[in-house]
Amino acid sequence: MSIKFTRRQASALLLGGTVAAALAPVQPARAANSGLIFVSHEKTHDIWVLKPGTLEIVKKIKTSRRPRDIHFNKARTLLYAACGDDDVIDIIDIAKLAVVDQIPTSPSPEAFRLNSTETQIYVSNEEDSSLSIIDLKEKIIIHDVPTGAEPEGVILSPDEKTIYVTSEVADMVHVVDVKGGFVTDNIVVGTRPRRFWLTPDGKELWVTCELSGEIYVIDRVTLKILQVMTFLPPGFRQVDVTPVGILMNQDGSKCVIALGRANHIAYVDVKSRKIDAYVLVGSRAWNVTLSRDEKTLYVANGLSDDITVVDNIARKSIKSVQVGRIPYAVLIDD
Amino acid sequence: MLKAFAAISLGCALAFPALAQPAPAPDAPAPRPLEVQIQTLRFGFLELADDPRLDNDKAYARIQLRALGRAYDGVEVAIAEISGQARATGLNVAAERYQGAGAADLAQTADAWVKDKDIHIFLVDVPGDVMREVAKVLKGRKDLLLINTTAADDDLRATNCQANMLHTIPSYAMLADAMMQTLVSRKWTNIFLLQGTLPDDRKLGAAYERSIKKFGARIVEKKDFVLSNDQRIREANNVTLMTSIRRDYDVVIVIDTDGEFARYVPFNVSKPRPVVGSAGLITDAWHWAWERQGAPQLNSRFERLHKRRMTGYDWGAWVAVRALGQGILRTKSVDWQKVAAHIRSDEMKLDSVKGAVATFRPWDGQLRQPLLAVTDNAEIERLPMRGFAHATNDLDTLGIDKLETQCRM
Repeated sequence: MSIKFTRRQASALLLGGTVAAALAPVQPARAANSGLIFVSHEKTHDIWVLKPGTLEIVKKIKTSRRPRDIHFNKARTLLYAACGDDDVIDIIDIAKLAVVDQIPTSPSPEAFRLNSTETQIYVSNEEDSSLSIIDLKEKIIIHDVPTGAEPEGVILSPDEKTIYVTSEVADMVHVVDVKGGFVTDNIVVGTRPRRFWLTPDGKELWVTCELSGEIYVIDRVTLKILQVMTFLPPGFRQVDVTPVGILMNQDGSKCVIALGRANHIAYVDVKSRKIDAYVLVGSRAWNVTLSRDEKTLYVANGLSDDITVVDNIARKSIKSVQVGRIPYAVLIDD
Repeated sequence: MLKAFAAISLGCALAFPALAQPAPAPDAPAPRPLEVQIQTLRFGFLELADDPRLDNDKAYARIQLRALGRAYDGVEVAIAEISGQARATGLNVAAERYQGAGAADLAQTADAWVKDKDIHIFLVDVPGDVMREVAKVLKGRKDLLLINTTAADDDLRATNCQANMLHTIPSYAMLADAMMQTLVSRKWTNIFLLQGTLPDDRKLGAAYERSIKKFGARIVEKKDFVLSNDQRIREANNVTLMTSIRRDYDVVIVIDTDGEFARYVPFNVSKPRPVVGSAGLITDAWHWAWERQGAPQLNSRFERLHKRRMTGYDWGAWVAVRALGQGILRTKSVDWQKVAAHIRSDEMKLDSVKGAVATFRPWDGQLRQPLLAVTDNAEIERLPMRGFAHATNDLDTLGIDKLETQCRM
């Protein structure tokens, strides 16, 4: 179980190896703080690069099929994109704005995280009911940890010893030991749990539960549920409230949650766990990203094929811009 | 994968396969893989050995309302999913399947299993007339719960309802309301109603007439068709002739639970008008082309296991088992009474995979759920549509509401 290859993965591995070898003499140019905005799309199989401010299209990067979750490496020279229909994670060179390498995964990778030393990547495999722990350098799956059906959100504890992964179908959060590659505990939460955020002090794990419309706040030490929050923006029904994307600002005082079909984002005061405000965005608000200066928030709207730019200080939508079909995630290189 | 799950459900103590390399740290207690004892809620699955709905002569034509396989296939997919959580919670479900000769045989089996096997929850996959008989024999029994997974008859939720029976498959009234919302939202309100004379056609027809009135549409013309090639009765079997009337209409609703007549109605109407109901655009609990809210994943799990596409009947059986899964998960118990109480309560947050939480209506035991209006290969509308609002739950714009129910439990 610890190491396995399919024929397809082996060939992808080979291909990846060739590309890497060809690239070896050329170090990717450092391109951090370019301000560029990256948007992944489930249906158009590409990642759009937008100019900061004007939001003009700089480039549409062709990727493997169905890119979903995206993350930078620490130096922001590379962008990783989990491509669900080709069972790979594409690696994009930020200076070139092109795919330069691939990591083979188990079937249907959806969400992932990198560790801080960028030696391992942790991927949920939606159709395979597993979490893969992959060695980045060797491109080998070290562990395939069985999970409930449709694993989705993945987050790494600050000490990097523990991974949390949701199972959408089993209504729970699995607690996975990174070193051993096994489940040490499970936390039953609301219906169809999706994504996570950890408070900056590392004490609380916040989980969005899409179908029951709730946020579960979990104490990381006891694994007990501290609070269950519900939302109801004006003019909507409880069934419309389907929270998915979640983030907190850097000091952990405020939390922003995309409310899905309720077409709003919610601002929550983290300490009091009270709702501060709702802001109207696009249709099926799906994922949220905050600029580093915390002045601007970007929301990917899955059903209106656009992203909404929100003034994070005034808490007002500024504008929405058209992107590709079914935008999944937004990331800013700032 | 299923094999692994099956093995797990049989075993008692279990650990994860990745257990092979535990890594004990020298000082801190090393994390250990979780080990759990598995408890299992066993339920019965009753079906007919010879179900007329699976008749090969009918199924070959792939008529949309026809079952393409046993609804039990949906049960297997749901059990595989729940086993995923069983490894964590220690709570699992398992099915005991029985194929009977008829209603009496099925009812007797249920009675015997309550006594001999301590099985109290029975999923039933039979046509409406058999469901009615099975339910009648077991009426008033407090030691069992029936879940009707494939019979859409409205009377089972009305005059023939009973306290120990729930329904996961949408009723005819719900299917008709879903269609009428689709039509009314398009302002296709002048209706040519073309219906068959089978008992089930009459039931579905009555549901449509009620729904047409409910949503303020009009019947311009209503005709009965005869399934025949007899030239002498062509005013009752020739679609073009039947639909050439002086008054205009927006849409033809054809009601044909058998399906053989309905499939020749589109493109044979004398005016260029769409055909809906039992052909063209139909409403159903499920369709393979529905691709939001986790549906592609469920469809691909089903197709991987059964090598065919998932239908409404499969969904009815699948969701019934998923409800039991919610019951054991939320009550942390395999006690059938606790599970039954949970799934009947407003507390149940059952993922319908159709974009809303499904719950059972307390007044008639019907599972409220979104429905789909579909063509052969596309989902056109998910119902209820925005704009059809209800005082408490928009899902109750589909089917019989509390104030109009004829069910007295």
